[in-house]
Amino acid sequence: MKKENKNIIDGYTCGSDNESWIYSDIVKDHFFHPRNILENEKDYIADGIGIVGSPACGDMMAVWVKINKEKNTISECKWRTFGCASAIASTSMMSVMVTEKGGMDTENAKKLTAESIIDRLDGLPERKYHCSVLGHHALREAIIDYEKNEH
Amino acid sequence: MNTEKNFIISKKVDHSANISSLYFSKKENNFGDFIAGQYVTIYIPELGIPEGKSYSISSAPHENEFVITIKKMGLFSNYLCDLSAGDTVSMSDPYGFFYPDEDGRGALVCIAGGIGITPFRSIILDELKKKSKRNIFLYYSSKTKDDLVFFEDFKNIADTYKNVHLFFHITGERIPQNPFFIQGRISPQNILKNYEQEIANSEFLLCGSIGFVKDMWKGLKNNGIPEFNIYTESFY
Repeated sequence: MKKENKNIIDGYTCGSDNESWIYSDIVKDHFFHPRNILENEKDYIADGIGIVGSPACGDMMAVWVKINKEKNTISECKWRTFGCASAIASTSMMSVMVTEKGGMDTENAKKLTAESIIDRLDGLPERKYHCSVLGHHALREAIIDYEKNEH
Repeated sequence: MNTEKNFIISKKVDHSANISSLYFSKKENNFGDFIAGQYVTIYIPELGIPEGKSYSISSAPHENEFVITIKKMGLFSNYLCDLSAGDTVSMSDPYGFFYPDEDGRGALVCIAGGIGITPFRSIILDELKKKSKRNIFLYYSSKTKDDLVFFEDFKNIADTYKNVHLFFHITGERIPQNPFFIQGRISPQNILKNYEQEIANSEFLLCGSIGFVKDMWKGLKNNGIPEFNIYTESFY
């Protein structure tokens, strides 16, 4: 029982049914230590911004990208959400995936899938799948925003 | 963002006891454009649930009616399947990125699990309307033959267009020998054997339950398909 509890983010639930969720160590790491969060966008100059979600149900995701215009790759990917543990971990991982190894090509970044992010997180509970789509949808909107601004 | 509007159902078609299509007249409802493969989010405040649920559009953009096809899976979908012509539905604008590249030239491989078939009717009809010469493969997995939706539609399409190839997999009942039906689950390895020559430029679109899409995605990736050539849409 003790061992099981180690895999649960203590006291953290998403939804109203008070269920606990089993998360991988990678999910926990990204939830407790999210990468690339932008806490205040006031002085942040982005090349593209994407916002998705519904304020009515509390799931909102904003993504800001900076683009290396010579290589057409993502040099910075910042984000902020009013989402749950899965949304935070998924978007944190996504921000790492698109900026690692010199930055992902924007065309490939637009094709990033929830499956790809979840695979890197070593899985997510199925009932939390929907939380993992907000980030890459917002990323895609941010890249489209950049492309519109450029052309 | 919540931009939903009310739309009036013009017709309802029951495909089976559990699956129905809701039709909306484009003229009467002033529908905007959409891309084949996109979905709408439906809101039912009467149920006391603020969150909407998303449903893929099963009609193609060039068709006169806008159609969503729904399987009864719970409170929300049961409510929708029990609606009738003349009832009103609150829907968002079409949204989503589940569609092939406009300039795609390799094979278009559509893999559907159950009610995940709905966007493929739209996508395939749209490709053909654009006079696409791409080879289009549809792998459609269903528990029973009676659960297959759009079977006659797809059969007529394949009879007319020689670049459309159908593979209906039946997983939950024994089926007699038939050129359209294959007994058992879809296997990514078997799919890839069908067109080794075209793999480099092919696009793979997967739609179905979370588990189905995850398994297919992993199977294709583990067999050498670049993950950026695999597009996914899951229902939950």
